[in-house]
Amino acid sequence: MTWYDRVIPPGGTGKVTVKIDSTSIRGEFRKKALVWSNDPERLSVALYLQGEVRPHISLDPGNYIPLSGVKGKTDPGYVEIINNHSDPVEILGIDNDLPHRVRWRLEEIKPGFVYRLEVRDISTQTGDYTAHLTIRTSNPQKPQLPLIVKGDIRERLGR
Amino acid sequence: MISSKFKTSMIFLVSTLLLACMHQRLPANEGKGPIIHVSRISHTFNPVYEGEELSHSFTIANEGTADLELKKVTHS
Repeated sequence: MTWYDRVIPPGGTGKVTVKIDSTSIRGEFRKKALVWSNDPERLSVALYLQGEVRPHISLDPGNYIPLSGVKGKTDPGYVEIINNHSDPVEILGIDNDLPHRVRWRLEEIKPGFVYRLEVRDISTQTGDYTAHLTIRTSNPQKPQLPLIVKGDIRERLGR
Repeated sequence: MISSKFKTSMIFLVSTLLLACMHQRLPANEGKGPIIHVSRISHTFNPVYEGEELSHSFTIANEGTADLELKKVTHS
C-alpha cells in the first residue's frame, strides 16, 4: 500500500509512504516502487525497499510430511520445530484429524527452542490419505502451525 | 601565414567543443517547471518477524518553479 502527497509546491517537500505486508513474505525481499510525476525531464523515479522477514517458528524441512510405503513397514517422517525468538516457546499440544492413520511423538532437542516431531503411519488399511496436524504453541503471534501428512500405503507384496 | 593543416585542426577543435557543449545536459527545464528530486531512493529495513509492519516514507522535493504533481505510484 502506498500513500503520497499529490501536489508539492515549488521549493517544498512531500512524502511517499510505502507499507509492506510482511505476513506473506519469508526471507529476504526487494521491492521497487515507481513514482510518476509531471516533471518533463524525469517522468518516473524508482524507489527501492529491501529487508528480511523471519518466521516466528520454522518447520524444517517444511510443513509437509510424505509417508509412503508398505502397510506396517512405512518409515516415519520427521520435522524440526525451531523457535526463532530469544524467548522460549512451549508446544501446548498437537491436534490430529486422522488418529487412526497417523501417530505423532514429540521430542525436546533444545527445550523451548528446538523440538523434533516424529510422525508415523499406523494404518490398518491401504490407500491414500491426507492428515492435518495442528501444532499449538505458546507464542501469541504464532499460536498454530499447520502440518500436512500425505500417506500412500500399499499392501505387502505376495498377498 | 596560417597553414591549411592548422586551419583544419582549429575548425575540428572548435566543432568538437561546440558539439560537446550542445550535448551537455542543461539544468532540467533551466529551473522552470516542476523538478523532482529524491535524495535517498533506497531503504533497508531491519529484520522483522512475520506479521510485523514494514513502512517507510521517502521524501520527495520539488526543486522547480511550478507545482510538482505526483500522478501515481506503481509497484513491482
